[in-house]
Amino acid sequence: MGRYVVRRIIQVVGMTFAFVTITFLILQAMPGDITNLYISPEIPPEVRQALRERFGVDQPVLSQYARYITNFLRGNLGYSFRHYPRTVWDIIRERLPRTFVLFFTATVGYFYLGFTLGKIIAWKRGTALEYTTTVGGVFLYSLFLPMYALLVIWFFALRLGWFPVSQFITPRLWRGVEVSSNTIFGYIILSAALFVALMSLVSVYGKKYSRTRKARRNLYWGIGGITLGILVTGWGISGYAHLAANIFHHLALPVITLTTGAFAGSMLLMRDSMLETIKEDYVMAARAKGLPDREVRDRHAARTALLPMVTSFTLAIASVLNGGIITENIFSWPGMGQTLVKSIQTNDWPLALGTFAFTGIFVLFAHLAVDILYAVLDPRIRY
Amino acid sequence: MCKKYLLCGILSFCVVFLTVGAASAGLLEVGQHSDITTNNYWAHMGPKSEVWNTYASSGIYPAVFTTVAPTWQLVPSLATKMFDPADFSTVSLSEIFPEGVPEEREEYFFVGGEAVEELIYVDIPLYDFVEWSDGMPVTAHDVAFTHMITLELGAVALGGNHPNLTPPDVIAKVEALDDYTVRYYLIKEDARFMFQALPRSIVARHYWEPLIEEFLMKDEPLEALFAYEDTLDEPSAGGFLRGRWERGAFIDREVNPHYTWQGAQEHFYEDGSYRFVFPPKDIDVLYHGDGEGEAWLSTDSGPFVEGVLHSIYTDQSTAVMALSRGDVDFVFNPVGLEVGFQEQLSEVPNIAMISNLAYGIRFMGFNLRKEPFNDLAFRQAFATLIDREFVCERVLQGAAIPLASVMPPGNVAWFNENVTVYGEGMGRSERVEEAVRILSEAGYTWEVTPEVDHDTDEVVVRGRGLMMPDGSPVEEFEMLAPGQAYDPLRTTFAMFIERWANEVGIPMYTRLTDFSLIVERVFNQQDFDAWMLGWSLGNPAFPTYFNVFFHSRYTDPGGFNAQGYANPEYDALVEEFLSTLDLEEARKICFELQEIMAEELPYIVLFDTEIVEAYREDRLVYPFTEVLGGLQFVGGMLGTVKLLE
Amino acid sequence: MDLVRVENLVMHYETREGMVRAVDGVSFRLKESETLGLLGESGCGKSSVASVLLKVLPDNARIVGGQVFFRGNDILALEEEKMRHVRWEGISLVFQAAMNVLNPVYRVGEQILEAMFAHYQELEVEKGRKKVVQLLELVGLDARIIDAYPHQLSGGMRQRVVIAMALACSPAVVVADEPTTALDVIMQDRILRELRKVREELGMSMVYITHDIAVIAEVSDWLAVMYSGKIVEQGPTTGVFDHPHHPYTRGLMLSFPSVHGPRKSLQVIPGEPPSLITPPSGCRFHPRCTRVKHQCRKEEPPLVELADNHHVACYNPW
Repeated sequence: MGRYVVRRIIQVVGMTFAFVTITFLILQAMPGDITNLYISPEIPPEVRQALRERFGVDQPVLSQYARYITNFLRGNLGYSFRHYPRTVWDIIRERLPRTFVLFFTATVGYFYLGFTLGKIIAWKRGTALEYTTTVGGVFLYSLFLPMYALLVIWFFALRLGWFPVSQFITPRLWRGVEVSSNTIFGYIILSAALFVALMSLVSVYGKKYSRTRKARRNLYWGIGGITLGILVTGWGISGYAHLAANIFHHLALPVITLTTGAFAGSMLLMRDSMLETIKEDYVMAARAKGLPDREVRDRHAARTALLPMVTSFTLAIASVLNGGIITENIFSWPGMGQTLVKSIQTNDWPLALGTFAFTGIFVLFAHLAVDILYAVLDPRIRY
Repeated sequence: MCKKYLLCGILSFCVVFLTVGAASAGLLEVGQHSDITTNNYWAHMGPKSEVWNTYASSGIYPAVFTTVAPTWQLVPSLATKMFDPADFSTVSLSEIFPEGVPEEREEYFFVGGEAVEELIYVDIPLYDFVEWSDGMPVTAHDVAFTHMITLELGAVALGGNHPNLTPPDVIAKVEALDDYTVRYYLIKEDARFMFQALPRSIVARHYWEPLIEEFLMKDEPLEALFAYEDTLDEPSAGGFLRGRWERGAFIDREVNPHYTWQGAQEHFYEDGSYRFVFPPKDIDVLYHGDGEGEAWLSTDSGPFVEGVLHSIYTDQSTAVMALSRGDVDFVFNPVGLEVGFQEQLSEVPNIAMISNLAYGIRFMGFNLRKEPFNDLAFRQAFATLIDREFVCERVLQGAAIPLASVMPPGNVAWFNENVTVYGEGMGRSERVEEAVRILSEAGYTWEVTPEVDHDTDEVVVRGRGLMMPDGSPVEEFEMLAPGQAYDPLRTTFAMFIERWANEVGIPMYTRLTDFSLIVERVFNQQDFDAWMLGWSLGNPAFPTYFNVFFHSRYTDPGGFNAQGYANPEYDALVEEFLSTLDLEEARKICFELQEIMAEELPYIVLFDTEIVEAYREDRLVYPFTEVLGGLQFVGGMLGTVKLLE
Repeated sequence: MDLVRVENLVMHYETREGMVRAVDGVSFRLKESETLGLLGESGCGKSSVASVLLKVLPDNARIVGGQVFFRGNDILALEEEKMRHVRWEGISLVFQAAMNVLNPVYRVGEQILEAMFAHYQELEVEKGRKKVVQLLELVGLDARIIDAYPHQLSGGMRQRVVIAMALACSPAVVVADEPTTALDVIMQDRILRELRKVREELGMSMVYITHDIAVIAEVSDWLAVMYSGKIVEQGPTTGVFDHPHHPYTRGLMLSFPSVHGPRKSLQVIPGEPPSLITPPSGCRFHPRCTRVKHQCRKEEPPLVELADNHHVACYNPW
């Protein structure tokens, strides 16, 4: 297994280079350059030429490439042209937390929703629930996303007034605040990560320290509740709680839109997968053993049906960093997706390439992670 | 199981209902469609000169002169009196630069190929009571510093608008004779001094000098300068301070509690005169006329708000919803609201909609280096065929405004309404007939001559096989135009022009393509036959574009005279225009230039667009809403808008 | 008292081709510490009987008639939650084809444990594991198997795990559905010996379902022969073997070679087992019977007691 992982990592490195080079060439092939942004009678041509020289875009392609790659190897993604002299990395770092929080939450949301519903409707065929969730889910899935997003905003924000129209924070609330939104995003991610890490530890080691199953369940809830309590108190003391709450308030509509719009995919995937595993003998055996219906469904049918979902989920998580240009645009969450599109539109190729490379590497590693995860989840698979 | 859902429910409830801040009554909330890219003056006047940056930087910097909206007249601001070209004196170059001209600027000290030996200079007195927000006085030293540091750092190197604002080929030196007198030394007489250097925004020397000195010690001083974003405490002499920039979300600007001109008044009279009144200092001055009769417009200078909060709404639909909901009072948008949004907003109560002409032109042009485009008769005949009114009113339903002149009518100060418009008022058949006549007289022939029927107003016989006077056929040529996604108005025009041209036997086809591609082929490669684009014309106070678009020195690749128009008579006239310091004289020349343009047709101007804006009339009162380019063109009038209680 | 009493059980499967009459009027009884052997060809409906006993029926199964009593309660009428307690604690199942009944992603011991946890919530994990080890040793497996995954074990080991699993909750009745069919003879022998040992130690009853006459002879006290969804002959094993009355039973006996005695050529029962969707009229066996009479074609023969507890459904028995 170790050898396999090493081999795959080498592949990933190779692919990264190929991918960066090809993208570089494509971006170079696009007509125009960054100075197209500043075509105005007020700006004399010498100035535009000087700008080209400053950014080196009038150099031959090969020398630009050589310079880029040598910097790339040292982890330097270069300057953005449009945001000069901000570095590409600095810009990515600013946009990343927003994109991550929004799309990670949404992805987990729609997968979890799809998984749960798929599990339920596969188990009980022909019910009203199956019919409504399938028809409703597919309908929402095929809705044109911008239209759906605007409808959601129109209804919940404009009509009902429960949620803000867009943006990721409410400017009025943050006016006098000293801390930046990225810091709060960081703390939110940290809190969530801590919580997840702790609960994972508990689930792994909890078995050793609890004598009965019931005790173990109590342990989960207990530790979960205590941790949550500590986190909430921590936030309360810090005085930033209302800021984080504000972010959640803004998170609601885009997450609702994405979750309801996309869950049908994973739901049907889960359902089909379950329908296969339900036929397996061990499911029947589990029932024969007198396991409660829910346990049969969840521990046996769903567990093995999960495998294709895991692949799908891991890959979806990887593309979380790409953001979604439509969602980011409509909800005014300037993130990685917008960065990518804007940078391409303005011929800001270092920013475009840097963003691509960053997310591309993530996706490549995600594929590797999927392979490893599969081996972990299905003991029959060994490399 | 149930516990989990209960928990979620409680959490959601809390989150939904506990987190919105209350609106502050005195706060003006505006939206804009893109985040700013810098909060640094040198950067947003320089390499980051995007319109979004200007929205959040208005009302900060003082200037010696200023151009007032809505008339675009040049009036004194820090200066105590109007500028008079007769006030110029001369001095020898060696007196001002005893050790010689600084090396990096040597190239600029030439006029007509000869090295200058004399400089002209003028003294401008300033008011002595204007202060920065930190209490320090605004002095002539600030003015001198702003210009000189631009020259020192390199106007072209600073890029963007800097070389226009402090033209290194015009400004030799600016010095402060005393605290409140500025002396400008010029290399030559140039209108840019009057219309760009004098109204240039002035920065605080006591703030920037120490910083720039620090930057100069680094390897890349300009990079360090542009990277500096800690400008929250930059002194302001305008109505507002620099804003706190929460990236991606908002810019929060407070009002300048130290604003000197609070309570000033402006009056505009029928005879074109302008009156400035400032009671606290007993100032009451009149410019550009005698102030006879009633003032058709009077404005008070505020600001009347406690601050401005710029929010970023990257999508127009959500910005419109925010406006409807009252989250914002106005949205900055350089292209205005689309028809759909106009309709949507017209149904929302308390929303006022205004419509103004944009300061720009949409046009088509030929590559004048090629035949038959270099033939004036061809161009004139081609222009005759284009029925702008038809496309604008009948096809586009008024979304475009027909325009035949290179100067938009909205710039009242410079617009010449008496220029030739080919085919004016003619119907289809008349146009075709006229075009055929022009071409025939010039010696063109057809295999099949187009024929019209005046009764049905149609072409009944399509022309074919057009030949130039020397007998060679006119080859099929291509017009590059922007596609539907970029500008459906231009696309529509392109389609009709193609049809009308082909009707008469002019073999052309339209190629709808990407904006970048057009720029690349037309400006950089100069590989094109005909093209259709548009311009945003910049500063209405002085139309420098007559120079950069049409002077023959800009015909090289990269220059804006991509069509290759080279007319020595025009060149001489434009040069005269640029070097005039007399407003009346400049205006007369500009009128002549427009006449030449209308005759020579290097551009066939097609239309202009309106910019439609909306604001909450239950919150805002503007002193006026009719202005070229709309409210967004004049910084949203943040300093003069009043809030209703 | 009878531990299990099945009365006139009729169960059909709905399929696209029609109703499959898998169990068509089956009755039998089982007392404590007894073993009933259910003998028949593939497709005669014997496995269906097993699924009814545990009430783990596929979606298309329909119980058309009859009752199944366990300790006096009709489990067919029992609600699901109560039935859950009957399963495994009362009646458990040793499955056929052990490969598929063990979930590949869980360890073997875990799967036995979960059966125990399902019935004894208060069970301590440590105690549970000890019991599992006991069970594994009971069936002759090494204690370390507890943490093995199913694919790591051989067929025989898996089968024994399944047996151990069936015993996890000390049931009163174990239904063994072809437990040794997939194994080689040596393994089969071992398993049968384990089973016997287990039965002796724990004293449980068993329903042993198989098509293998030799095995059933060894294992069961009572024997019921099924054909085409019906029981055609039942009685004490020795009695049925000594004197098979039904032509089918006789045919089965004669078709199995005997180790003892002279080499005889095997006799084959001519024909094919009938379709369960459209079974023959009258006696299901009549098309293949050498002793067929006119009445056999018209009416189904009832079970008639010919000797001590020995019943036959035939108009012309041997």
